[in-house]
Amino acid sequence: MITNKIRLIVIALLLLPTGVLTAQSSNQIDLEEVIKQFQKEKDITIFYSKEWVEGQRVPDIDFSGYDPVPYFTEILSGSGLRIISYNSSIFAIIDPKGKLAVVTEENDTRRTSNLVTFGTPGASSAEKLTINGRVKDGETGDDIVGATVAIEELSQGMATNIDGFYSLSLSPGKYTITYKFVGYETERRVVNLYDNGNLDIELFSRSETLEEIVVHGRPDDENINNAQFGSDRLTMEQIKSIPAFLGEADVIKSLILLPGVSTVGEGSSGFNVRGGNVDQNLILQDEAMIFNSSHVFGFFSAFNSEIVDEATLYKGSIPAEYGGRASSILNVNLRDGNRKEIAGTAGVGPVSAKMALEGPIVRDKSSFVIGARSSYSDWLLNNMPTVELRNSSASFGDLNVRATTDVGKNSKLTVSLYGSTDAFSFDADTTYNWNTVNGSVNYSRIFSDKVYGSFIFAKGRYSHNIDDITGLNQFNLSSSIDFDKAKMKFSYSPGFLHNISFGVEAIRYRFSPGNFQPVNNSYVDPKVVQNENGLELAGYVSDEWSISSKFSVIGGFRYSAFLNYGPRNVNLYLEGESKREETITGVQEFGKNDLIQSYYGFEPRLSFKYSLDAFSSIKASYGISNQYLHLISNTAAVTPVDVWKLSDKYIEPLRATQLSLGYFRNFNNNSYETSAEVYYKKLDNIVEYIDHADLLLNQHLETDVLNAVGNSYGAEFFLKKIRGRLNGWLSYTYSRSFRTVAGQYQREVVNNGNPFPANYDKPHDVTLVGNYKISRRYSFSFNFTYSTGRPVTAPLYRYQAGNLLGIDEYSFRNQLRIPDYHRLDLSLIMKTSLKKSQLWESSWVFSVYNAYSRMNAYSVFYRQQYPAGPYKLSVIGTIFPSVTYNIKF
Amino acid sequence: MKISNFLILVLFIITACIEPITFENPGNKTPVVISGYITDQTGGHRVSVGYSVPYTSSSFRAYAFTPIQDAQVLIIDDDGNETQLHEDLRAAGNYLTDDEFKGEIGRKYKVQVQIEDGQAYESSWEELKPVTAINDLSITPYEQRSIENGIEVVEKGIDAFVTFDDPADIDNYYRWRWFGTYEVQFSLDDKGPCWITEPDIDLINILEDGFQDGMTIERTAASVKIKNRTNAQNKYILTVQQLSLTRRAYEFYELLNKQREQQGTIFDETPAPVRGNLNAVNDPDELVLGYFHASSIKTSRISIETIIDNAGEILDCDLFVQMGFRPPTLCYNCEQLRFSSRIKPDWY
Repeated sequence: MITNKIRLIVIALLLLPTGVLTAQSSNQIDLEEVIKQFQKEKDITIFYSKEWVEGQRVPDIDFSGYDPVPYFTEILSGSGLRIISYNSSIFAIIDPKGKLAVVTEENDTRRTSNLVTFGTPGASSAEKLTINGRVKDGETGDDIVGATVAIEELSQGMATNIDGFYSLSLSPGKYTITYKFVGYETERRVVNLYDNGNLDIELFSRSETLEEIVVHGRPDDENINNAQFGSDRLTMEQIKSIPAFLGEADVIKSLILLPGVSTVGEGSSGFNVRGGNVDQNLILQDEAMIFNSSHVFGFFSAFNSEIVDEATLYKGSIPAEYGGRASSILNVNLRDGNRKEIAGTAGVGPVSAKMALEGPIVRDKSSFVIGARSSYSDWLLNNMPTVELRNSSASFGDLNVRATTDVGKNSKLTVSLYGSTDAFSFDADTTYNWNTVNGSVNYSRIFSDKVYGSFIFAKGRYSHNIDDITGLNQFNLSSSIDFDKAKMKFSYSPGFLHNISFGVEAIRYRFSPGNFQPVNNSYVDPKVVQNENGLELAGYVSDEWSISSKFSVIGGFRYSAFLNYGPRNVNLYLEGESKREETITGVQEFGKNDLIQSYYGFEPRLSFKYSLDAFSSIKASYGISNQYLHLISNTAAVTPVDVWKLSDKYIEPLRATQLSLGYFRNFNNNSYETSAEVYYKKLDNIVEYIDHADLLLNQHLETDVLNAVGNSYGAEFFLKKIRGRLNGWLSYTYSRSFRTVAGQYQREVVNNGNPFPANYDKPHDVTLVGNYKISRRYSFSFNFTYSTGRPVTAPLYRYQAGNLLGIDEYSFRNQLRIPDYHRLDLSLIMKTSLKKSQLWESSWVFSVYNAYSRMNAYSVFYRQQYPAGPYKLSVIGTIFPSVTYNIKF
Repeated sequence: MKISNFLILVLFIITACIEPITFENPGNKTPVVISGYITDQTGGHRVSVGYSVPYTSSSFRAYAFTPIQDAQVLIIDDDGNETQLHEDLRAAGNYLTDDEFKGEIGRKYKVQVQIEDGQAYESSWEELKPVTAINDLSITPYEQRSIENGIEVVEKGIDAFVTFDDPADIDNYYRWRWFGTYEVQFSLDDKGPCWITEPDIDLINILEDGFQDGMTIERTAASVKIKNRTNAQNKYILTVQQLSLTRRAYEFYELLNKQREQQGTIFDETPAPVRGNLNAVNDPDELVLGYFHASSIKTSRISIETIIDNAGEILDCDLFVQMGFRPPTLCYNCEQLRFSSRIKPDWY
């Protein structure tokens, strides 16, 4: 009753001045009216507070020729009010004596609901107050990572961190806060902030009736407004909408469709980023390192798409938090389980099946998610034309177990375990086996409203084996990598202008590069390559600083050190001679934990953003990364049996320096994103190999490995349509990657010391990805890719010399090219029912890989028998259809 | 043992998608190939001169050579002596020294070739280094099982081993070659028997003393298959030659050996050009293939009894006559067999 009375009085008061003022002279006009008209005419936004503007009369001056700032400065003179600009299209009219916080358009019903008040007016005398909380999924209770929390009035905001946590520091006042995330209904709260407050928000999935295809998990204009660039985020929605080989949605295959990311060819493990080798990508799954990201020689990736939350690839400006690899960081985060109820998904394809099961351990407090995949048939191989292959088998499987729990109000504990196995046996006599076992624990804690920290421990092992158990030369060859990693990271947000992060990291490696042993008393001689031990240490500090509304900087540095330590025997070589087996003069023995060699490096990371207007910006970045471990592989494609090597006395760390520059522009209210980026990358001490290098079980790799200089440069053009029934992207990449090997001695020179293209130098690359939503039940996707054929070293001539009949004379390294590559894939997703009452949802995915059956060359070889000559080999030289059935409950 | 071979095979078969391909021909002229060596023994020494063939042509290995005839081939030593080679009438593109010509240990040699279009080629100087004597040549049978197209194949033969004392404190580089000599006779051949000397086709058997410097070294010098040899008599004399090489010549052969392991797949080690010691006189950028070297030779011989396996496969010329068929021309002239000669070697 009382509130009703008050409301009446307020209305009366509001009406009164209007009535009075209308009677005044005609060359004065109502300020609010001017603001409204101005906004409409000029298509800009002006924030203002009704209480300040109310009743203000200003001179009626025609504003058609004016910019907002000079115009309002003119008409507001004498009113005590002032205009300020946030950027070229957002302005605010403020009372310099009043609070900055303002509320507009009280009549908007959306904003009058959900009013939250913290404290009472005058409760706190602090200049700045803090409001924080968590954003969660209202159905599952999962934390929502990357949800946007924005203060509408200030057009400022932040994204929730990995635990769904946000914290805003504001002057006392009244604000409208919006909480947004892909696929969820946006929530708004009007907050009267008189004291610090905690506001947890639950977001609910949008119902099917809403437009569902949203491909961006960040604010629509994040691409132009974030100083971070040269990074690509893929959410599972996106990955699942891309046509997949054998129906298996694949993180890495999707990444390869992005500009700047390429691969040597089908059936090769790993990927290449901006002219970097496969080993220059740090691949993290829940902070644990993945050394082999492929199943079945690259036909499938190591990540179970059912439980991946999102994958972020940093290829340009790498955040200071990450390091240890020269070219990119692929950070794959798995999702938390459902905290409210048991749920699951399952899918069956022609070769493999996958499932995920999740649910609460303690409702609303802790949850688990289990994901598993397994191949169940040798369908692929059984369709092959030869007996040997039909007798072969390729199998893989992986298992993820992840549990998350809240510890008190402010902490969260996550345990993530991963196991992956691959076995490939050829004609039942030789078996190749590779396995990953990883585990990580992450404890994160909100120390205060401004400080947030995480403590991570991860441990893992990657191993591979070859067993030959028939014939006279039976053997087992095994090798492994063990690592232990500890990391502490903190972020400190003193306000809107700065976001400081810092941390330390230590990784211990133990490599067992090769152990070759006879089996069943066979005649082969055992051979063991010495173990290696290394310790990588790093610390970093970084600040994301919004200098003005137009200009922001992320500046940071990382300092890393690497220690190679014993026990190990290190060869010594003759001075003034190239390192060869014949120039070994002796051996230096190092005992346990004796330091053999240490390296350290300073790694600055800088990136800038300058907004040209509300829709476009220019960005630049500069960064250095050191890499202390190297994949030793002298073949065009990485094989599962290639070994890794730590930097040592002779093999120096790889050091990458990258400069990049980009222009970003959005159109049509951020429905279209476009960008153009150029980069130059220099790789010092990249590992190359002498001509005719011998790498297998080599006990003195330094004799066959060379320090090369790599130069990569390129331009990437990207057009992406985000909204609408048809969405997708078109990208064109021009990139070159060269190596120069010009050592001191003749055997340390390749191609006369001239630069030669890297194995994956493919100058032109065009990708078109599209997704068309035909109806609520059907959607159609396609992708087309074209790239220049990769370089090869092939014979040019053949000759005879004396008793030697067919000698092939090869070209210089990588001087010829295989034919260009192009391929079209299609897929149709059909959801069986949209009724909510059903116990489960299901969908069919029909996909066609290589739709027009292009025989893309993978490699070239020479056949000796009739008809002799050069031949190309196509790994998937035909159309490859498949059907996958998925259910979700 | 090459582990990657298994992988290669796998991908080869997976594919089934193998198609001919054409590379852009790098030029309309294929490089000249000059190869051969002289020794410190008498007997005609051979230098072959020809063109290589483009890799793109569908050619059998045996035809990867287009002879260059009417070339002027000279061997020059570091004392200024010149020896003119004459063209071998039985083998186009092959040039022979006179039978009396022999090199001298310690002297350096090079070959000069002028071909008809006026282009001149020259090798770098190659020193004729001494080689140590073979102490002993012994034989032992071998049996090698392998699986070809799913069928087990057993190959039997004789391995021959040389034993020699490597001279200490100097780098020694060796190459071994072998020849097997046997007699054939056809009943209708009026001119009598022939002697076949089969060479070690496609074999590069080399050694660097390295870790064995100054030691007594035992080394496989020949592997001779037990097989059918048309109408061969049972006596088979194996000749093993131990050659000296310069380090450069050794490295050339070593790289050729490595390159032969190439299969052309993605699991291959990256191959590279192997350059010999020949250059065009007027154009240092012209690619010239092959190698010319000078070697000292030590020879050893052994008789092998069991190497001929002619069970049931004798060319019975008389039988043709008896049955009224016309016998093959071979029955009248054993010189038609490859590597055959009417001259009986004095040591046979």
